[in-house]
Amino acid sequence: MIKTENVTKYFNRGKPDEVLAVNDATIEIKKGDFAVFKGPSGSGKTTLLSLIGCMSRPTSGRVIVGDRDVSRLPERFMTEVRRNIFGFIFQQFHLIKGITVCDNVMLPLYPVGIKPSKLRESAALILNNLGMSKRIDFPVQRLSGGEQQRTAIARALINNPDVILADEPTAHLDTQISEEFLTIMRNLQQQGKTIVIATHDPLVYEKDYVNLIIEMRDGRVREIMKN
Amino acid sequence: MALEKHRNILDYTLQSLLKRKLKNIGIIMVFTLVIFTASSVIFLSYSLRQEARLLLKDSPEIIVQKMRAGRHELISTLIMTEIGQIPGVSGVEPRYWGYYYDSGVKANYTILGIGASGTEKNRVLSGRMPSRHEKNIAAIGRGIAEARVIKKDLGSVLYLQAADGKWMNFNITGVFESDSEIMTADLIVISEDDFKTLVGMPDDAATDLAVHVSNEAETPTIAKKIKERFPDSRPILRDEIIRTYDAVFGWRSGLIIALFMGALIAFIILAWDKATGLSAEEKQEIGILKAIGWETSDVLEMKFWEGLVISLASFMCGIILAYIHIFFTGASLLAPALKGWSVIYPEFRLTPFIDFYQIAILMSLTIVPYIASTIIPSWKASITDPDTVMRG
Repeated sequence: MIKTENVTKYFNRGKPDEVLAVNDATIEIKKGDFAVFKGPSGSGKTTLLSLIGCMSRPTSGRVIVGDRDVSRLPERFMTEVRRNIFGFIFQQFHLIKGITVCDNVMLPLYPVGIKPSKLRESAALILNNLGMSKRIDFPVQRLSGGEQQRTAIARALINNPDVILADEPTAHLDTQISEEFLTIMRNLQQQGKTIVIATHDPLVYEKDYVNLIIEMRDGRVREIMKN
Repeated sequence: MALEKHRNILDYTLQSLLKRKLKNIGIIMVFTLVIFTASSVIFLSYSLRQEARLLLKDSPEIIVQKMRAGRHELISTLIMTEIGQIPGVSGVEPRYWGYYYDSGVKANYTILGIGASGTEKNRVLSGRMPSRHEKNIAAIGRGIAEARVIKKDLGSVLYLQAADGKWMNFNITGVFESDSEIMTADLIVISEDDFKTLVGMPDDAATDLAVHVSNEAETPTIAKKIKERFPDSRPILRDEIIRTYDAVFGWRSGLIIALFMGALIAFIILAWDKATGLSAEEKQEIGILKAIGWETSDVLEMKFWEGLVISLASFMCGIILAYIHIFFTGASLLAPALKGWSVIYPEFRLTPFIDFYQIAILMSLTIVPYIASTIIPSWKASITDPDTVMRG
């Protein structure tokens, strides 16, 4: 499903503040996996997540999604892959403030050209499944942390992606809400979706349903553990 | 489907604009002020020019004045016959007019003596005009009535001091209505006889002569012939007067634009500020949109709508306010600078003439740069990897 071959990523290459974020990473994630990138801050797990999610390009090496090498795709096709295959849940949720929960959820599909009434219908269904039906028309900035995360999950699911990518999803949540989040992810995995989470939270990578742990340190893949 | 896409993006743009209400209202206000100022000047100067052109349309093709040592002097009416015999001349008539300085109110009036032809009749007169030989009768403009604090009612009396020092009284039989004030605010119309008595003009003299020609194309030739036969005369062509009006209003428009350069500079700074960078929040928003599946073209479309909505709204507000200001309130803010130097400022309503060419230029000089200044920095952010943009 997703492969990286000797992927390296530099930031600010050739400048005094050059950073080698990912160094020669080769991994493979199969369809239906519940994979975790594990490692301390600065180990390169977020960068690797964004590389496989087509949010940035590797300096060298290849990223393969399905059968396609996406690392050198033109920008337009990268966007297409991002929109059709991946759903993102960011560490800070990255919801657009000033608009409602429903509008945030519908946002990924605005450029697709679906009627607003249908978009709203789909968004309402997902929000309802996540227990957010009473918050549909709430401005997102008035939501609690857990509610904001569920909104972010709904936004990641609106385009019915095959792969959910989540970056430190439990970093700002208490244990109970973190558990709720993981239950949602587990259910999605059982529905056939591939889950990839970057985290240093043991609550996540110690779950028995996590079947692939990729441990990273200093930008390198240190260990790959399969259950 | 494609239409829905644009509708959705426009819908999001409007929500996005509402999110930054205060900032956008500020931009719209500055933008509106700039458009209001520029279009007010355009509307007013163009309308005044058009009014002047219309006014001059029925005026004689040539006006002949007598010059002495480069100074305008009274002209003898005895030369009218000789001018009338020049081939191509269809008629010659004397004109009686002059300025009267009223030291009491420190204002200049324009005094017109009604001649034989009676062409000075004005259809926007309430009451009636004096006839050629009618004594002590006057029709006046509203500005005069206000300056002299006399009733605008017919039957009131106006006193003017004549050349011999005696006071002449005139019963007001007509008052010009406000629609004609551009021409009549400071105007007093009296009979030819009274005019001559008032200014001490000999019977065989006139202020100047109006010469009508049969074929307008022959006007310069006829003017040349008049000049040859009467070397001390100065034939003034109607086209020259029109050109003078254009130049005067053009110069005054430039003056107003210069005065409002401050507002223009504020607008340029605003556009420059937008063109040189996005706020961290705006950059992050673009990064999020890209990350969740928006293409660069979608982001640019959103920014295009954003620029268009703000600039078009400001443009329309500015144009509408300027239209109301010029054509409904008599250009109350700009009038002192543009309309003239008289103490009696006409309070007139201009006929709405709009120069669409100038409006189109104004549009392209404001809307297009503003949209460009909105799109360019967004384009820079949207072609960068979403991950990099979101990291800041």
